[in-house]
Amino acid sequence: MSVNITINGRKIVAAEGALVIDVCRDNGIEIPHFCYHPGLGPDGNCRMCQVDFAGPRGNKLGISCKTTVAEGMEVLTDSDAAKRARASVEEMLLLNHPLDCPICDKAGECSLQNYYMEHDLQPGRQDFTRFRKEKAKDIGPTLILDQERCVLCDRCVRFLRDVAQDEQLYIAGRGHEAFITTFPGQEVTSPYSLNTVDLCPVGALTSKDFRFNSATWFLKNTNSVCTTCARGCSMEIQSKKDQVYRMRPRLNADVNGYWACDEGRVNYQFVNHDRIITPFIRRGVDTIECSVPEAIAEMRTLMGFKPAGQIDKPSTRRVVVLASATCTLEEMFLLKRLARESLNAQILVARHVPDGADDHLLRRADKHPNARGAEMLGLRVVDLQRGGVNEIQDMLGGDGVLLTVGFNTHVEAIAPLWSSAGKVIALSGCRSALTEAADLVFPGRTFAEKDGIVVNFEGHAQQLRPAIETRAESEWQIIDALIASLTGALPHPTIAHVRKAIMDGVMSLGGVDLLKLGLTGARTGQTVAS
Amino acid sequence: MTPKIISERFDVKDNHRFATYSANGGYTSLKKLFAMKPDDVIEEVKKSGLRGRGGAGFPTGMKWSFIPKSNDKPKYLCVNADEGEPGTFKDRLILERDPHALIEGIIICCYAVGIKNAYIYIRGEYDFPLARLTAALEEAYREGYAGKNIKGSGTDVDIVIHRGAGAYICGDETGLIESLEGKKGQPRPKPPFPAIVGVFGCPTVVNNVETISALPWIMNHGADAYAAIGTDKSKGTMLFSISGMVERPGVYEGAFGVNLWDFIEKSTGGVKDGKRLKAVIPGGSSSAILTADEARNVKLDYESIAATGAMVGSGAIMVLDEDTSIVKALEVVLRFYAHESCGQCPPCREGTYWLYEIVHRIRAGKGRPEDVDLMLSICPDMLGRTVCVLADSAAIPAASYIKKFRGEFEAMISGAHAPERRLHPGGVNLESRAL
Repeated sequence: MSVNITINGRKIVAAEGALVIDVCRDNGIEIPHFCYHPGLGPDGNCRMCQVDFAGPRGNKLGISCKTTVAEGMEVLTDSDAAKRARASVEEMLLLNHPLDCPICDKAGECSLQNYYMEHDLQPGRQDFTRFRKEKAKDIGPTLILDQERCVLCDRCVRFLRDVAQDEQLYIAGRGHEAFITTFPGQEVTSPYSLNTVDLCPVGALTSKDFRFNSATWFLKNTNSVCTTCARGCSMEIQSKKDQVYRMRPRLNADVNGYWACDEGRVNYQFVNHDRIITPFIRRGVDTIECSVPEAIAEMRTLMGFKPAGQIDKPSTRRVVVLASATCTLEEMFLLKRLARESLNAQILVARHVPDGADDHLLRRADKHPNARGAEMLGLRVVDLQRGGVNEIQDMLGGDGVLLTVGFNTHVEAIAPLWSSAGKVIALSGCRSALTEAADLVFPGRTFAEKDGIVVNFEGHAQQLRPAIETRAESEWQIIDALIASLTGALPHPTIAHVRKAIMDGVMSLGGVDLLKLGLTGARTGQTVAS
Repeated sequence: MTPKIISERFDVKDNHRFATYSANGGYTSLKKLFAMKPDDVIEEVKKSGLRGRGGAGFPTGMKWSFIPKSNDKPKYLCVNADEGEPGTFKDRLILERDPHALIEGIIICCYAVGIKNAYIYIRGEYDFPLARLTAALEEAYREGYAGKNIKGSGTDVDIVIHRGAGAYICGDETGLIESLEGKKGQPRPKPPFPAIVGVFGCPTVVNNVETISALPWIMNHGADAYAAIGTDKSKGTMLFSISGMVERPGVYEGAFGVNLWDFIEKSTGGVKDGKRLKAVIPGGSSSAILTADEARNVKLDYESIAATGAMVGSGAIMVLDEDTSIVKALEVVLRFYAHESCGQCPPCREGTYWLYEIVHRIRAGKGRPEDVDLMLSICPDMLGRTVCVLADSAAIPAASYIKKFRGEFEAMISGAHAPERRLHPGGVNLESRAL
């Protein structure tokens, strides 16, 4: 059912039961608000979203976040009364606000600051001593609370209570003495605590991880995906030059809604240091940096082929290709082709990150973003924590060549393999015990530099997009070059060609167009019960 | 002569005991009640013209009729005994001297609306009234006037007394409901109104003690008898708590439609010590103020008082004599509201405190000439902008005190202090206490 309303004289058809503030937003009119959040629903306490409703007895102010549309409703969002009402709320909120914007992490993305620019721009009429409350209060492993900046919108309280189902904050006190705080003697330990930082319309709750690291307006936003678990929450990666500064969830109704867990948000530190940019060959205790073609020649030698030219006979050595379940769909697809068509080798996809636990909101026990993608490609996924190691050791037979791809973190799970393999070749973006042990190392990229597709546990395919620059070549290009050097096949010119090849070759995608995944991805045909 | 309806038995010795109450005609209305259909009871109350005596003056029968008839959810009655409006002390007398009338009224309301569970939310500071009410309720249970199958009628009414913890805002009907549910007392945004979503998410009637206590009389004497008293729209009688500079402050029952000052003068003997009248606050601290002239020329009923911009409210009449400082009176009022704001809405949380800060500064001799206009410009930004009416309760008196006695404020700012003595006899020295 739909109803006809007018907003500022414009005739609009809205869904019955929709909130006025949502209808306005969907029609390009952003109404200022603090306590309302589409993920939390309205609360009605901040009074910032007041608009004028025309009625038989004249206009009447009302809050647009609690009012549902009704047939014939006339909404005036910018009448003098509505503007005055909002400006006065803004003024009231600024009365006791500390105005420490120059040192506030929220500056630049602060609602209170933005609305001041929109509404008033007048010097304050406030002329009494501002109320003092606690500043820089440590309230848990992830959060710092500044009670003076708080506008008491209750969003953090409602999020922890209603969404995270872990009530750890509340508003104590009354009137202008009210303040947000933790329960006595307790901390905020929710695994979703950092969502409160995004929700906070001001700088009252700040993240210990991001605090004082960068002014927000210097950060570049890249729409990507979290690779910390099998959920694959839609994320924005915020970066500057070659460093990632923070990750925040972005709306994806099919995957994560508005939220992300703390673990996923801070799982970017490994991107920023100890990276491998150029290939190197290990000769005894020395390492020799080389170019990619030189590394490919070395690989051929290690595998028992001639250093150059197409392969004329199968390798005399056993080769096992082991891809991390964190690899993208394109990488796995090309690795499969490399193993089956070029090397006649075994290929397995490994779960190597220790399991977590499923929870009621987002987090999954499986800490790999693309195990489901591997299954779709027909690759076997083994769990290194549960017997997978022995199986691969048998395949290697004591002197086989192990080619590992994508093991950037948690390499300890494959340690028994490299000690039992004859030779180890690693394609890895980060320095680790693995790259210390490998005979040949190709550089790699992390999720923050990759363009690639991951499929979450429900079969939802989303695209990673490169946020930061690196000189290291993409894994898929290196793998493609390996295939080319062994078979003479032409490499794919772009990653879109790889995706096209996947679509042509994989039936289980269920009609999903990998070239048109958009910002929120698409659900592939097969789904598994969660 | 004004008929006594609520205060009929106030002076009967031991009336708080069941034996005395029932010997004097108590609980007789129930026989008539159980012979009527519930809907007819609601009609009868509508016809009586009884209005809520807690302050808003909403027609009681109409409030009951908003409760959905369906039986898919339990319904509740919350009796608001959180008498907190400064100047109001009439429910206290009912609880102390006529608690069985309240219980009888609760049975009437519950029968009419189909309620099986009633709560009495009593103000935490009311120790003695609580003791009297508790004892009366125990008697009522013992005598079969509460609990299951009241007097064989098949009507069940369980009554639970819930004690508040000292917040003014819990006298607001949705603040009361939140508090009753065990949460922080903060009013809820409306709609939905309590009649649809009230306590524990169920349809709820919230009525004041005095409103409920008037029901037995209406049932006994009929709606027409009640409606015959008072004016066309303000029917019946009301208890007025008269305080301030009068000879005999106290609770007086009055019929609507009489001259306000005549009523005060006849009841209390007029201004204390023969002083001149300066102003009257007719409906509790959240009402606008009336000048002496206005008070002498206005009728005491909802409509006439509302026409002056003030309100009958909870019937708390405060009389200010010529020696009373309006500035100080406003400071006391604003200090109260700044302290009692629940803190949800910025216009109230910050606005009440801002107004208090300014008037406090004026009183401390540090006022600035522009302060008067500053206050007047803040008040409209608080009116009707919040979840409940607490912000209005501060802004309305502030604006009216300033508009009607602007000279006093300006005199104090310019250093020529207006005469000042006290707000009420025996009052504590509020200015020395930190807010």
